[in-house]
Amino acid sequence: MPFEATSRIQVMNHYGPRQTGGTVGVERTADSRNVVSFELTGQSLVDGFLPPFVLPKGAKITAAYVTVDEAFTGVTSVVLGEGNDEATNGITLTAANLALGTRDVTSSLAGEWAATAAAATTKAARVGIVVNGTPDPLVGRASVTIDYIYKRRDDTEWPVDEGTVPTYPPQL
Amino acid sequence: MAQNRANSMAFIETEQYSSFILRNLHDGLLPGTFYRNVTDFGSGSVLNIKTVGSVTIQDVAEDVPVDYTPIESGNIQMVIDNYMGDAWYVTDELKEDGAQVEALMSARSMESTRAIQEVWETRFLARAASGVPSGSPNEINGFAHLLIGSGPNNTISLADFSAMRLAFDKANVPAGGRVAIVDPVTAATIEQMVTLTSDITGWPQQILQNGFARDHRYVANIYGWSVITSNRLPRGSFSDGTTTVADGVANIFMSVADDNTKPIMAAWRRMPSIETERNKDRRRQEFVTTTRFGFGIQRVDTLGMVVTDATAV
Repeated sequence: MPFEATSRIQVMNHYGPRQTGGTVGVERTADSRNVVSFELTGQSLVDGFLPPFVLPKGAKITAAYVTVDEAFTGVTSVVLGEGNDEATNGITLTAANLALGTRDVTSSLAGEWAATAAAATTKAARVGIVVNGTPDPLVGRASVTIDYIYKRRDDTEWPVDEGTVPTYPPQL
Repeated sequence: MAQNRANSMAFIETEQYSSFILRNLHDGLLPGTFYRNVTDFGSGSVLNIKTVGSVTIQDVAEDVPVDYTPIESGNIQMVIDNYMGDAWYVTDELKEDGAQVEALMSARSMESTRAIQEVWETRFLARAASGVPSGSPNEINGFAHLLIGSGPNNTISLADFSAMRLAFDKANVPAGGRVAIVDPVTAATIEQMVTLTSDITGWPQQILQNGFARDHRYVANIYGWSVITSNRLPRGSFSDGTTTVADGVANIFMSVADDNTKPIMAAWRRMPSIETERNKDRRRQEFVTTTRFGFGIQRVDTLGMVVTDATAV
């Protein structure tokens, strides 16, 4: 795998040919409205690695959209969500969601991420990815944007919930 | 009657004592540059060391916002986990009655210092071996960092040096500063690869004449490895998950190019120090040496192990 934590320094290292994709981060947005944006490519789905973006506790997700510029091959579904519990609090993008074009996938949000949920997120969670199927690394490019509102005046709950962080091979 | 041995036995000192003292032989010690000397660990019991990981790159288009992405960060630790020492005394009676007692005390002191150094080095090598756990090939980027000697009866072969070089290359390890610490048995194995023939060329002739290791070093680098021999490498049962060597020796391969690549870190909390006092009640001089230090595995991608049979050549 291009991304490995086998050096046992508790972070991923990258080996071999490198491609774009697998990014996650907030776009430069204004006010209390934020947009967390992902770029998914066939290679990034094979890699299965996302940088350590943390969705804060108390974020209220309002909408999700996906734009597919190049179709994927071999993908059954892609789940983005709370690390180590992506399917419970996250969004599942099916193969149909990942067809060419732009679409509103707000209804695919689930759990604490659901736009219809009354409450907001209950923990500061690192966002993880689960890929089902056997993606072709050479094809596929999509952008996923998730809108959320975050405006808290409590600055004490930023630390990430350790249960959402990936487990790497321990230091020896 | 003249004097002879038969009638002058009182003047024959049958047992004599030489002033020359025969001492133990000691193996060479490794250079002190094979570990990162953690100088910022002067106090406390746990040192946390920050690490940083990798990032991802995105496609960008005109007038479309980019994603601001973080970089991974982590933490490793090291602790002071070794505390050892030595204590001895000399009674007044021995000083009064004995001969060359000062030389004896000097030898006792030197042996103590030497033994501490050897224990330190033995534990250093054992700690290095613990960074390549037995039972799996310890693959990094698809290439094993634990190899079993591929020669007959699990002896070393030149291909093992090549394979470990490849594993390091695949793990992004710098080409410079690669050292292998191997058992002298491996040098014997390589020496015996040279066979005596009538048209032997100069290079194997030198090996036949002088051996393949001299002063604890191989006479030539092998595939970029500077090779040092040591008798203090860990012995025991080792496996790569497929093959087990019951009486094996763990030959250690590592990069010591700089502090970032060195796989082992070490810190002295208390350098070996000698304290002495007079015990008047027991009429003796007492000496106590203690030391505290710690080892840690910084990283394992710059660490490898080739297990060879401990005795087969």
